[in-house]
Formats: sequence, structure tokens, C-alpha cells
Amino acid sequence: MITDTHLDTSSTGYFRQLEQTERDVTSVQRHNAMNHFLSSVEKRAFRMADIATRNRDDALEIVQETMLGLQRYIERPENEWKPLFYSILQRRINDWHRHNMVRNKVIATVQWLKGKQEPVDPIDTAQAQSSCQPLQRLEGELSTHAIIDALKSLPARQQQAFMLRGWEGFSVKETASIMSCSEGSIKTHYSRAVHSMRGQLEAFKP
Amino acid sequence: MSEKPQIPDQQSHDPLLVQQASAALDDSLNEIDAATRSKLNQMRHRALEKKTSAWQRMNLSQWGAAAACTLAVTLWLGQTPNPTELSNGVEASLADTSMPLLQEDLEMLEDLDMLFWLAEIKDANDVG
Repeated sequence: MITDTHLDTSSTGYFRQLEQTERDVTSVQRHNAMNHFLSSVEKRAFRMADIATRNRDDALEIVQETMLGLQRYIERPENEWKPLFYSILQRRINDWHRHNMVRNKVIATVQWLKGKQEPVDPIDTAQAQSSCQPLQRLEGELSTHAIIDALKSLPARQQQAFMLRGWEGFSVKETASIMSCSEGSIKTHYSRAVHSMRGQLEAFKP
Repeated sequence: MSEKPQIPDQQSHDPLLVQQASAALDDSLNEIDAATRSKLNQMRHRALEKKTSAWQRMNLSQWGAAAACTLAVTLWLGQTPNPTELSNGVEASLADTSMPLLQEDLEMLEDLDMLFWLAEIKDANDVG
């Protein structure tokens, strides 16, 4: 004989199972959505980190940390993922700059203490800047490499502002939020970046 | 208060330059080598696997059970002597038990001596 209590218990179990199934389905959907999102931004993130660090391995490490950082927010609405992702990425790049600065200072101090500071060879420092200029001038167009080189030469904040605003298409407000600074600062960084790049790329124009 | 120099809007944005730079950056994505692309792919899967690890799939009741187990183990360990104490205790108890045994052995040896002496006296008396 089926009692009311039995019915209640079995229906509660059924609904719990149903809820669990729904949760599992949602989890798989979010997992797939996150996979799709990350695959759509990973190369762009790598390029940004590579331009900032000029080091492939460091750039890959930054992207990995960013991915791991974002997956903690998988439950957040999908439209928040992009600004969150770039916000984490910029923070990781800033951390890299800070770490690099400290490391360089330590190395310089150690070298100074040892009295082994080697003079800088001017030929080493004068390389890549003009490596492909003649060919580019002949072609009369702004090559990818020239633009990337110009971007690499920008200060970190200008690089970030330019790539987020100009390349990723974030608004001033969004860029300010991602870079954790005021909208006025973003406008200044962006303007200076454009101005500086124009100056550098002027030589490549026919 | 001094005002910052204002850059004209057209000059500061330069849509052509921005467009060219965006196109160059897009093109540069195609230049990423296969090894780096493969690495990025692996990293993405690793990041997603981390999310679905066993720890993060645990619900509230499972976390509660885990916390209760941890507490129980901590309390049990708090009452049980640690291994160092245990080994010291074992050694001490062994020393405690071995001391009377050793004393008994010595007494028995002394007794044996006395027995041998008594036996010698007896033999001497028998001969005499």
C-alpha cells in the first residue's frame, strides 16, 4: 500500500534527482561555454602578454595564470567573463613588470657589488629597431612587424590602454575598470600611445 | 592649477592608425607557431579540469562531512600520544619491566654460587 508519506518521500527524492541533473547539465553547459570563451581569447591574450614581456615563456605563464584565475568565476554571467579575463590578464602583466623590476634591481646591485658590471655593447642595443625598415619602406606599407615593434616600445600602461581600447574595442569606462584607474588616465594613456606610435610609424609611410 | 595640454580628438584617436594596428595585431595571431598554440590548448584544458576537480564538485553536505571528519581526527590525535611520546613510553615501560628481570637474574646467579659453595662443602665433608 502506498502511503502519503511514501509518496512524499519518493517525490522529494525524484525532485532532488531532477535538480541534481539540471545542475549537472548547467555545469556541463558552462564548462563548454568557458572552453569556447577561452579558446576565443587565448591567442589575443598571449599576443598582449608577449608584447608586454617580449618573452614567450613568461607570456604563456601569464596566460595560464589568467585562465586559472578566470575559471573561479565560471558561475558569473558570461557577459562578465571578457572584462574579468582582461582585468586578470592586466594584473598579471603588472605583477610581471613589478617582479621584473625588482629582479633587475637585484641583479644590478649584485653586479655592482661584485664589480663585474660589463659595459653595454652599443651594437647589441642598436639591433632590431631598423632591421626591416628598408624593405618596409620599399613596400610602402605598415607591416605587422613594424606595428608590433612600435607597440612593444610603448610604456606598459600605454600599451595596455591602446590594445584594450583600439584592438579589443573596450569603452573608456570599461578600460578604466579593467586597468583599475580613472577614465581620465585612460584617455591620456591612449592619446599618448597613438601619438607615440604615429611618430614611430611615420618613417614607414610612403 | 595648470591645465594639461589637450590633444585634438582627431589627432588623439587617428582611426586609420588604430585600424591598421588592429589589423596588424589580428594578422600577428596567425603567426603564432604551432607549439605555442598547442601549449595554449593544453593550458586551457588544464584550467577547465581544475574547475571540475573533486574538491570543487563537493556540495555543502559533503563539505560538512569532511569538516566533521577532520575535527574527529584532530580530537583523536589530541588524545593519543604522538609517535615520539609513544616510543619513549614503550622504552620506559620496557626498562621498567626489564629491571626486575635483571635483578632476579643476578640474585639467581648469587644463589647458584652459594649452591655451588654448599655443594663443595658437602663434597669436602663427604670425603673427610
